[in-house]
Amino acid sequence: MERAAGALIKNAFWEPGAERLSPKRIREIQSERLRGLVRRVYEGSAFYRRLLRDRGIGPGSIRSTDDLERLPFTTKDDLRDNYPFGILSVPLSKVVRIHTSSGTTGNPTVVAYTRRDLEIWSNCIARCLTMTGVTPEDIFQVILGYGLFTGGLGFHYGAELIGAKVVPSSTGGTKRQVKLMRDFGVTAFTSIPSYALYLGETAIEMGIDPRKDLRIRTMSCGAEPWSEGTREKLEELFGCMVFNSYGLSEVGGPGVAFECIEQDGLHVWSDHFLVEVVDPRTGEGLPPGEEGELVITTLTREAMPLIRYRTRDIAMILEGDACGCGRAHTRISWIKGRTDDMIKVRGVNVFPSQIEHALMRMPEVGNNYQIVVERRGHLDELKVRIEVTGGAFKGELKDLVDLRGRISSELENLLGLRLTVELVEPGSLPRVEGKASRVLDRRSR
Amino acid sequence: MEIRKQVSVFVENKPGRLSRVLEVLRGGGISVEAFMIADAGEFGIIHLLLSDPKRGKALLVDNSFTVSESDVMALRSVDQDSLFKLSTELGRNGVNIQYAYGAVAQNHSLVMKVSDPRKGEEILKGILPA
Repeated sequence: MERAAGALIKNAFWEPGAERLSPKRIREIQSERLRGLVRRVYEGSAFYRRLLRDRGIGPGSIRSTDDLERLPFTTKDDLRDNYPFGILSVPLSKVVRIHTSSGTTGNPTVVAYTRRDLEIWSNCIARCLTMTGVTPEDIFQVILGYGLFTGGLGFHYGAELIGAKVVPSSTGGTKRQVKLMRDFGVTAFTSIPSYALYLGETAIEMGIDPRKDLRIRTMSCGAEPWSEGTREKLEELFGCMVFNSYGLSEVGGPGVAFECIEQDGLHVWSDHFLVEVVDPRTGEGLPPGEEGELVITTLTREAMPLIRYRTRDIAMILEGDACGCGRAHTRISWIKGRTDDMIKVRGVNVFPSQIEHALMRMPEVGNNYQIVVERRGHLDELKVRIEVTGGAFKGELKDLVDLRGRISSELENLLGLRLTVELVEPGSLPRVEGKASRVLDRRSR
Repeated sequence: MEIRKQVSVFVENKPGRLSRVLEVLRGGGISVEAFMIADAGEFGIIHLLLSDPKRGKALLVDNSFTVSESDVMALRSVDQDSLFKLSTELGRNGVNIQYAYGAVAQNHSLVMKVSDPRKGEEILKGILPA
């Protein structure tokens, strides 16, 4: 993989003291902060006081991270049920910002911040950006929604804190985004990955070569499921390194975890967030290297700290404390999918993102697909329906039969499951928006 | 005999798809001179010889079909004798007939997709009436 601008990116630290903590020191800080956290939520949040009392846990019961599993989980439903301010651990008078996440089902989720929460948030983002090469010299375009969505403002404040020249272009108006990028000589940007791809393609349509006519040195993407395949496409398209960004509004937004220049997992800022992986079905803790649901405890948030929040994101903690970048902050894998999307077929976990990844490398098909699971007799049958788009269609049946064979063997190798591939006409599959599921499970439950 | 553009459409193998393709073409005043359906299980391809292939293709693309164009040989009044002759000559000269289909309109009787249409035309010029 050619990385034209890769060499320009240097490993740098925004808060060297905190970022270079030893593994031992990180654990000490986590234990110390966890003790403080339990005390704070016990005193400040009626919701948590009740929850902890029910478990027989007092404000002084938790002594170190070893006691973590004694603490109850917090779920998205808890947040919804306590809408809007029932979960806060400080009086509303201390709150200076309120965001919400989309409420597609029932109440939205409220995210509140004190002034110090905003400072820590901005510093976390500043760490992420500095770690991936953003400096005060950079012109940084924030191509994420501003407003209630935490993405836009989160990156805005972080980039501004570094001293970069921030262009708050938000989303939409793609040609204008590209024009600004070229006219201002933008050197770094953040966006959701699918939109970044679209920006690059639009630039080409406008006669602007993203590699030559734009000056992007470093880019970060997140906020929707994506894959290494998409990353490779983006790096090729823009000729720069692209970094994976992870966060979720419930625990404060982006800036929870970010890739460093090693591109070998995402560092979770472990002095602020304590991450665990549990079995999504039983809630039992899983060791590093095993995939499960990410559970996050916010160690320093004041307004709305969360204890063992079930993110519903599937990933694993990577083994080993040492990273080439010099940070011992826990590394997690890319998010493989959502617990809501995960399907078990003949005992194997299947995620739509795995299929997406494989299809990315097949120019003959678009990226609209659907996974259908049916039960025939006693056996689950997996079918992947894929739209055939115009680009590489030559009009010959043989090519399509070959294509179907290639996709089947690729997917079977990847998933370790026998499956059927069905090629369908463009437009015949339902369009899914953003994070919606692409799975049609027809097994009777 | 002439070299024509054949329009090929990817369709799912289910009732009503051919009719939908024909409906789109008819709506644009384009007539179908010949066609064939080739299937591979749950999907297939409809090959069409159209009065106006360029516009026909555009119409189908507008209606979100996956479409492609290729050269084919369209022959008039092919009978058993000439069929034998032409297949022998093409074979002897290394031009492969990949598939062929009959016409629904008056002016052609056989459409052939061959490995090399130009060469095929040269070969057949001598043995078939224009």
